[in-house]
Amino acid sequence: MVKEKHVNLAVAAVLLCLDAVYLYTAFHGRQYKGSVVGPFEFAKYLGIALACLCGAVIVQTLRDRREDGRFEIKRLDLVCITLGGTALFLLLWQVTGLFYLWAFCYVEGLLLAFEGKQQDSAKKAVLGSAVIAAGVTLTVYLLFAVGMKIYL
Amino acid sequence: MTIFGFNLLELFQPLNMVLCFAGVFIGLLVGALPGLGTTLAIALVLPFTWSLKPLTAILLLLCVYQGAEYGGSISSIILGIPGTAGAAATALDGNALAKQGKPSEAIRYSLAASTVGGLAGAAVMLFFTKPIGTFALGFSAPDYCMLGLIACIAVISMSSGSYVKGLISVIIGAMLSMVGTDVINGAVRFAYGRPELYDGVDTVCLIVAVFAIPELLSVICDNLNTRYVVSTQKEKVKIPLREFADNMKPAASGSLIGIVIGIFPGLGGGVAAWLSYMFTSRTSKNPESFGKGNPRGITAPESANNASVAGSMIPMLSMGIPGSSAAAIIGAAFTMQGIQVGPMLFNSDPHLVYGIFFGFFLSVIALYLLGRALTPFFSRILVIRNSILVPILLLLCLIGGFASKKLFLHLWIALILGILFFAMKRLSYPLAPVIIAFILGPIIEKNFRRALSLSMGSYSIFYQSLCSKVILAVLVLVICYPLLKRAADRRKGAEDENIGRD
Repeated sequence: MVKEKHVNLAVAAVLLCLDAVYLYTAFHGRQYKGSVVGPFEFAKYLGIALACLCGAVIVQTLRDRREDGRFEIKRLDLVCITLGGTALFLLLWQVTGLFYLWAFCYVEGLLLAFEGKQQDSAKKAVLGSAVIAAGVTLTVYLLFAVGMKIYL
Repeated sequence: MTIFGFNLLELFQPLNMVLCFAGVFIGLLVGALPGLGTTLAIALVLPFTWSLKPLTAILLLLCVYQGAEYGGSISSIILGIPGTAGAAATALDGNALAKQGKPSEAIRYSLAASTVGGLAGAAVMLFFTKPIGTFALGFSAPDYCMLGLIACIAVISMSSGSYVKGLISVIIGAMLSMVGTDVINGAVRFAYGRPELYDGVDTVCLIVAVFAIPELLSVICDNLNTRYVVSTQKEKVKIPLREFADNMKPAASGSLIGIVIGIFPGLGGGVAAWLSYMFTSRTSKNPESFGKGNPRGITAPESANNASVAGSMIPMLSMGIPGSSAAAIIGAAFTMQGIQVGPMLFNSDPHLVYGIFFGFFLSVIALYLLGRALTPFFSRILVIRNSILVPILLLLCLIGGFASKKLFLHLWIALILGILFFAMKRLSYPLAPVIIAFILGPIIEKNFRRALSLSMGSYSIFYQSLCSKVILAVLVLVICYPLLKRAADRRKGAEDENIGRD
């Protein structure tokens, strides 16, 4: 069981780490002599402010005496499948350039993951998802490639 | 036919008319589906506006905005589930009237009120935006810097969530806006050697990361297999004028409240609708009838949420400061078109400005016509499960993110940031401030640096003129008000506890 407090602290820590990289870049950025306020000055103020605020969140979270709730992401498996599927689709599209093929597979994959258990038989589920995925892919092709001349 | 120097016939060109109706259609569709919302509707369409002329692009987005604000009331009335935040108040009397066997009557009132609110907002926008813009010409660099800060902080001040978390969202948005080439010195900042980032983080990809991905992942978590059951009875949407005349007063008061609330950043259609509903119910001769199917309980909030669309565009066009996150996305469209919004727009491109004003009227008319024709159709769309919609919407978001710059790095950034923002959303970090700060960040920074250059590094420039003093006072008030309010609430809570013990 993951407590909300722990996740709060983890997110604040991640933001602090990213802020550390940001501040390092800002303090080591090229300084422009002759300008009153250089290109990285505002970034330094923002970075310091974020560090202070993340510190405040960490202190607030540690001092909070209320009963700690559970941090729950229902259907975490489906969320992970969606994110993993999206990353895989982007990678395949980027490497091969075959948008429509991978878009069809992506939509069908997600439909099967989301809807698969609702159907009586696996064959019906695959067929139904394939029809919807094909329809969506065709619509996207007609709308973007043919209609708007946007080549994906 | 020329009015205010604008040839109205230009508005009625075939492409403008087709996209106007298409925009309302898309807005109605996305707005009617519970949980998706106005900002997602606009975010979905934004990427496809870059190839259009500026007037056509802005008109399309305004039509989507209008359509979505009305569309939210369809599911609100039929299912009791608001499709958008602005339709939440409509559910009280709208759904009650629908349960009495009169859903068509409820939708009738909703459409008429939305039309009245939209037209009133358009009229105010036409006559008042320019005077506000002219007044804003008197602002100097420090004033614009502080106004931008007020807008960013006001968004979080008005919410009831954690103030600190809201400030973090603002800072993250501002930090992301600094990626890319500095407009003053030409320095490349935070690109880490990637040429794709020399132009900064792509706005469309960031909108996908902030609104679309967290929202769709939340739908997966919370109501993926929800199936909404809708009666197959045909809904008629005729509007007898005499019948509606009885409801003109709440529509008028709602319109006024919507316009005023829409101007203030962070409030939006939801707050306008509730305020209008509360005002109408408390000033009514029969307040006990509200919540039980009183038509005034529908006309008041619906006129307010559609009027707030124009209200949110007034500061956007006159000062470059968006009145809502939806207006901020429309502001991004101006940037994509290479247009600087603000008071100078009236001099540099008056043709575009008046085209937008008159186009607003056109969007309301399109809303009324399409609403009458398509509402029965949309009530049937609600039977489509989210499990089918989510993959389609995800694909559209990825296409949208790719369409403008055709760079995969931005899509990867959108996906990674989307995961971070999803986690932040689950931890009650408000996300709308990220986009508003991203849009306003360059304005705040540019004017901050300009102000300090003028004053040779002295911060006294921020309180030198009378105008600057007033704006600084407002900024301090906006920053301190939520802290003082929370301290007062805590003190009151402790006093009540002591009284309870006694």
